[in-house]
Amino acid sequence: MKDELRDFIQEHRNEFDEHKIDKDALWSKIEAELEEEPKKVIPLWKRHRWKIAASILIILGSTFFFGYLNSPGIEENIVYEELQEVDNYYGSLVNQQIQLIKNHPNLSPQEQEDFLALIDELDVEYKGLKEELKEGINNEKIIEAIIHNYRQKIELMEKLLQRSLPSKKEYDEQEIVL
Amino acid sequence: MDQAILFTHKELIEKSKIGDRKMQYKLYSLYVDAMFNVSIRIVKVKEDAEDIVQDSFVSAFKNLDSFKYQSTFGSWLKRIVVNKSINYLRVKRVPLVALEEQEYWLTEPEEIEDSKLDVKRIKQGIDALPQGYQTIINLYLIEGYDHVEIGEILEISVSTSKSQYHRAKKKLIELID
Repeated sequence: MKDELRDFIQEHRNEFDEHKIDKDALWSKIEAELEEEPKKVIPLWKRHRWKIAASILIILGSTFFFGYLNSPGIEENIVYEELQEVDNYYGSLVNQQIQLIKNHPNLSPQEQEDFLALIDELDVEYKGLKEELKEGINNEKIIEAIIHNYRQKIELMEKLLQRSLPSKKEYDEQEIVL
Repeated sequence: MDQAILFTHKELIEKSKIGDRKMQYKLYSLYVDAMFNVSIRIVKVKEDAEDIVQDSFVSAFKNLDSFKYQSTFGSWLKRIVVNKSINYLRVKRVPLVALEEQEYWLTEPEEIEDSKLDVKRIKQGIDALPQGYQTIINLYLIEGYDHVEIGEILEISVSTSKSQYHRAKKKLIELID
C-alpha cells in the first residue's frame, strides 16, 4: 500500500535528526560504566591450562594412591571417570567451535572442508587412544595424549577463526546504516 | 539484505567485541547522534534521552558478543535504544497507544496534498498529536519499522498496530492541513 507521507518522511529522514549530543561528556560516563566491570579477557586459554594441570594432578594423585592400595579395579574406574570429565569438557568446547565454523559467513566451503578433514584425522587418533586405554597400561600418559589431541583441535579452530576476521575494509568508514 | 551492508563496520565491531576501547569510541561516535535523536523523539525529555543513550551503549558493548550480523549494527543498536525508550514510557505510565474507540469502520485516511508536505509542518503536527498516537507515528513514519516490528516493540497485535496507525495518521493529516 502506498503511503506518500511515509515515503516523503523517509526521503527527508536526515532532517528529522536535529539534536546533537555532547559526545565526549557522555562517552566518559559510558567508559566509566564499562570500566566498572572490565570485559573478561576470554579466559579460554587460562582455563585449559588449569584444567589440564588439575587433570594431570588428579591422574597422578589417583595413580599413586591406588597404586599404593594396589586395587586395579578401582583404578580403572577412576581413569574412566577422569576420561569422561575430559570428554565432557573438551567435547562440548570442540563441538561448539565446530558449529561456529560451519556457520561462519566468512569461510569458504573449501576452507571449511579442509578444516573438517583435519578434525577427522584427529578424531581417528582420538579413537586409537581410547582403544589403548582399555589395555590399562600407562593410562595417565594416554589421557594426557587425549587432552593434547583435544587441544590441537581447539588450537586449529582458534587459528581458523582468527584468520577469518576481515583484514581489509570493505565499507566506507563514515557510512552508517540503520 | 545485501550481505555487504550487514557487515558494515565489521572491523570496528570485532575489535570492540574484544574490548578495544578506542574502537568502541569510534563506533560510538558514528552512531551516538542518530541514537540520541531516536530516543528524544520517543521520550521527549533531553536529559532522560541522554541517560537512555548512555545505558544503551553500555549494554550494547557489554553484550556485543551476541551481535551476529543478522541485521546491521545500526539497526541492532537502534532496537536497544527504542526498547529502552519505550520501557521508560512504560515506567512513567505514559500511554503507548491511544484507547481504542468504538469504530466499526475505518476509512483510509485521505492522502495529504503534495504542496503541504513539509518537514517542519510534519514535525509540528507530530508534536501536537495526543501522546498515545505519537509513539506509533514515530516508529512507523520516522524510524521506518513495519507493523510486525511495532507489534513486538509495543507488545500489541499487528492489527492493533495497523488500526492505531491509521487513526494517528488521519489525525496527523488534519493537523498538518
